[in-house]
Amino acid sequence: MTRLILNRVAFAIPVLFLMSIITYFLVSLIPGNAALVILGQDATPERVAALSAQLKLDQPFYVQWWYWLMDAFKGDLGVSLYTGLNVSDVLSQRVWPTFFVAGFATLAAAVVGISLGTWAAVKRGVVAKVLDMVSMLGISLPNFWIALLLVVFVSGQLKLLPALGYETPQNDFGEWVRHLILPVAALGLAGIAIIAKQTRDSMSEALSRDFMRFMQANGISKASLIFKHGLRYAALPVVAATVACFVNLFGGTVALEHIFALPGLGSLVVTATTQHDLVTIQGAVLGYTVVVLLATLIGDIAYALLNPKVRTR
Amino acid sequence: MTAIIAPDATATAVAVKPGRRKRASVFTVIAGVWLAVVVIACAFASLIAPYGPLDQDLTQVFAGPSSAHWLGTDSLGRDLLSRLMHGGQSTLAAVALAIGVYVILGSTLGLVSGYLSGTTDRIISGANAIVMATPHIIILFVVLSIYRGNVFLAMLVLGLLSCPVMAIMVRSAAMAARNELFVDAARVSGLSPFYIITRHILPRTMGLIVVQGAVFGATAIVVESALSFLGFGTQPPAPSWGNMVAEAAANISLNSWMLYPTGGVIALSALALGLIGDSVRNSVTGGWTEPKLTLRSRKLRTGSAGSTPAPTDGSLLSVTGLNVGYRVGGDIKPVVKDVTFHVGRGETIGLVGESGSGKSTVAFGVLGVVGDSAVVTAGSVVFDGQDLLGLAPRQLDAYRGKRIAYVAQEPMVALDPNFQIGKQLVEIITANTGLKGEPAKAKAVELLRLVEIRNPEEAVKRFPHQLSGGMAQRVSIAIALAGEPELLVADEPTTALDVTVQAGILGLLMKLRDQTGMSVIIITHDWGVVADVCDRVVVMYKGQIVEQNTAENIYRRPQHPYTQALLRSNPHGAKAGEDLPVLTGEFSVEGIAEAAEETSPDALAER
Amino acid sequence: MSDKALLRVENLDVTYKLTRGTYKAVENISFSVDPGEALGIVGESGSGKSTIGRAILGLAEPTAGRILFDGKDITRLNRKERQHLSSDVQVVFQDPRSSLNEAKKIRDILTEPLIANRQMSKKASLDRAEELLEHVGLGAQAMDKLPGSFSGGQRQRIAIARALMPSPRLIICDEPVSALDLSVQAQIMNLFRREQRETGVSYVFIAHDLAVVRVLCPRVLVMSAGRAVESGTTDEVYNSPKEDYTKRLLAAEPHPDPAIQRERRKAWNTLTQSGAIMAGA
Repeated sequence: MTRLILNRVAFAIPVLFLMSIITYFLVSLIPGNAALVILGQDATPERVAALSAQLKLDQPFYVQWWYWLMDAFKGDLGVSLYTGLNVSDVLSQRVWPTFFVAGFATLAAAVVGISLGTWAAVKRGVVAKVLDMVSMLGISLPNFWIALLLVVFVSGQLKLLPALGYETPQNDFGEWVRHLILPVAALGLAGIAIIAKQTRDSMSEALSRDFMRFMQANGISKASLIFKHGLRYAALPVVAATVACFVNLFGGTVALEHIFALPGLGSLVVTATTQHDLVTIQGAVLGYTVVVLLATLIGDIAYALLNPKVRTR
Repeated sequence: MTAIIAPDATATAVAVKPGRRKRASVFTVIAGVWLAVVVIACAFASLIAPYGPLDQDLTQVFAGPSSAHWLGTDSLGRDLLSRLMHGGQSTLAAVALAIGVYVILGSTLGLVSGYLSGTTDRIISGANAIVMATPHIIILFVVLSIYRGNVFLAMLVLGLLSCPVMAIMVRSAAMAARNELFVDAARVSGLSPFYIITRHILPRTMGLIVVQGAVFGATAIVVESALSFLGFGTQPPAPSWGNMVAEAAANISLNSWMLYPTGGVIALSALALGLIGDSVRNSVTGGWTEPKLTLRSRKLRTGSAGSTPAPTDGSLLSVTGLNVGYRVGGDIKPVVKDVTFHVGRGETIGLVGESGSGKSTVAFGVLGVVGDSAVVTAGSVVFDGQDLLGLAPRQLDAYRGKRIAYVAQEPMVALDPNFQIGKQLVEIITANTGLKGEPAKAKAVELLRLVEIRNPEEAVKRFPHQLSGGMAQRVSIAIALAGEPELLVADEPTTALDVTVQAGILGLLMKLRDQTGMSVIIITHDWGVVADVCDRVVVMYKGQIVEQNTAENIYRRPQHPYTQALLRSNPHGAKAGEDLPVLTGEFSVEGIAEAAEETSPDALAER
Repeated sequence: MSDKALLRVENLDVTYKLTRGTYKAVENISFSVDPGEALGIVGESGSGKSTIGRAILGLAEPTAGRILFDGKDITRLNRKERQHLSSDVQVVFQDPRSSLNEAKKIRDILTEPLIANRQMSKKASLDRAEELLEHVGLGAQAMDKLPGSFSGGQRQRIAIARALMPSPRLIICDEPVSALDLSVQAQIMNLFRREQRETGVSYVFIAHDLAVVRVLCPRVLVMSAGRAVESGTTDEVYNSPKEDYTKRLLAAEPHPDPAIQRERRKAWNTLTQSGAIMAGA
């Protein structure tokens, strides 16, 4: 177990290095000059050159990357040239709305998806076919479109929930919940589809194992075979699907944050890319990568815990 | 010893199984037609679209559907249908590019790493893991912020970033195919890896590749439109599906109609791709795996118990007129026909037959675990005076494990791989005796000792994968004995085991039988096993009993031609250097051998 | 017999690399097979008997020792040499489901290896395939069918036809009848016997079933835990085994006559209870 975690961490380091150098390289290709952006169009060429030198913008991208990396080790991700804000601070605020939306969407998707999938595996026939159709719909309906439909109906016509904005849970817990419901619903639908389908498949496989018949013939009840032995057998791929689902949804909030005006990581990235805000983009990429790596690590630990062949080694 | 007919009489190659190819479902056909219509409409938009993509008519802003504008108009009075057709061009082309990259690169990497394994595999798998650990959507944004509006490049990158998923799935399929014996046969012939990958492995993974490609296509449509929805794709006024939704969103308070056709076309196209993928998947995997768990809550018998009342000759078990069939479509295909036999207390019965004889189905019928696609159409299974087939499955719990127990053929798969054997034993003990906690644990150890497992205190902590085949079979016997059953049904309990292990297991079964006085039904195809343990033998052929007698009499004086033939084709008695007598043709239950023209001898062996 | 031997295996070792350590599957095995002869290799699971076959076929890599075919060293061959050898050495596997590619028609299964290796023209190989399908009792109409439409026994006939395509001098048979029903097993055994009678092909016949080996093989090699325990003529080994392992193996096999089996069971119980030989160790 410890070795598995160490392996994962050892794997994470080169990934982070690679990601940061690739983004630095890519972003350095963006036309335009940050110094010019800061000083405005009227600035004299001398002042632009001076500021460029001060910000090391005249250096090649790998030199800039190196300076950035040295600071990043100290926990300093730099200051946005555009907004003047400290990127570490911005990230630590922005990550929460995105995390809550993706996290709750995954949680809801797991609860609903596992129940639906188990039900379909046990009932088979028509129920399973309907579930197939529904999960296909969940995967193919664009979440930004669902979000817009929800805005039109739930906020616009029914006036049940707010369409825009965000509230922190510390400030007003009720409002926080009310603001999260629509984005979570729009995002969670696809998650339900993915998890339900995986559960259905794994559970069907579990039910077709020989030990089901053996145990049943020797007096174990149907309920225990489905909910204890069956779910336990299906757990491995379902947990993997849930982790993958979270990773997907975490990256998939960008359009939703735009629609619901959520101050999350996604909208940060969109604004930063339109503004050529290199330092912020770099920080955001790092933030996203860390979240993906953490989720994968949790998935791997779950895998090791659930698989007796790994555990007993 | 004469062969019934010449051993190598030409047998015709009859198709034993009808083709499993299902007709495409209505949904699949509709999905295919929809995609075709969309692709054609977009490809020829400049010819067939009623208006140009930028033609404005300011007298007709935000119009609903009408004969002039089928899908209505937008804020500038532009025809939505025409804009969707033109806008679809870039969307569909970009999606096609993404699918192309995803499918070609992903399947190539998967095939190569799965087939070659070793260093190549490690490098490719490592690269896949790294790419999968990156935030794809964010990378797309970075790319798009540099090459603003270049959807093609973005979709190419999406294909690149996503292809590890395809690669990993194809890899495991290729690894499975690589272990198939036909690949070994190809390697023995010295065929090149390229030849084997393209001619043998690729066809086996084709279904998977199509499915993955279609599902990814659905995702790609959604991602492409999300990007242009956010303004990173095709720039207005040029239309794209995504920026049309964005425009609809901008005018959402003025008019919400625009939202439906624009988002609808994206959703429907993605859905169509997904449905096509799903139907390919179902035809590749052959649909559903049959559950081994009997789930229904209705009683097993659909027909009558038959006129014969339960005989009161002191038998522990009386199976009378048992008919079992499997549902195939709307029909019921009979697999067990009119089977009648009795098991006395302390008696050991052998159910003998080849594959497809229905012997296992009889055993499952006795245990009430026939599965949900099987139906008992008639007959009775009377155990100690109670007709089990007349009970609801829930009532059967009072018998299963407590009075009738079961030992399966493959011990390694009969145990739940996820629980320690001690845990499994305790669950069975609690269910069948009510013992809980420490006493149950003590009983588990005692049972393991009973089946002669060395060091049972240690053994309870093991998982099934840590046992040898022989040990696993001993554990499953211990599980079966937990409720001190009066009848033990053992389905080919030693077929999967080595002959020396078999001798030990059969010896153990006989010892336990003699100690407890329980009755045993043993299902086997092996005359040696019959001779070793059985008092009486029931010989089955194609779902019917052809003969039953004491083991001694069956061996010395087989009455039915099938029994005679089956005994003679046993290689045990054969003389070295002589042809084996061969059984062939069809037998009738009355005992008259029929002509063999219609069915090949091997069809006998077909399930 | 040593000079004319078709196949000669000398001090063969095969060691598999595992994630943790190594596993000696076969250790110091030597035997030879003459033209037209059939050698049986018997043993229980894990005895290494299949690994020997795989080493001869180039599917497992020998770590020591030599394999000679017709006097030529075939221990380690590159692909071209293996291709060349394939016209002389062929294989029939255990599982008739897995040994034929479900996605291919029988005609392609039979002819493709020969055409790809340019050992035969397309026309000639098609003629040969039809002839062999007739020969193994399936008829030429099987050519355009897929393996899925055949039963286990029929598939094994097709696998045999595939092995016979290049008219090989040696066929490695790895448990070729153990997945088949008794009645079908007898037919396939007879087919093997007839083929040998007619073409003089040699067999290395790997099986766990002692009775099956006796039908086909005048000589036998008994294996256990990667080592050769005993070898000799089948009669000798079966009737008067010298080694404990062989004795136990023979004693464990049940006899179909209940009267004889009762005696054998008693003998087995004495054998295992004496403590000299542990059952299922």
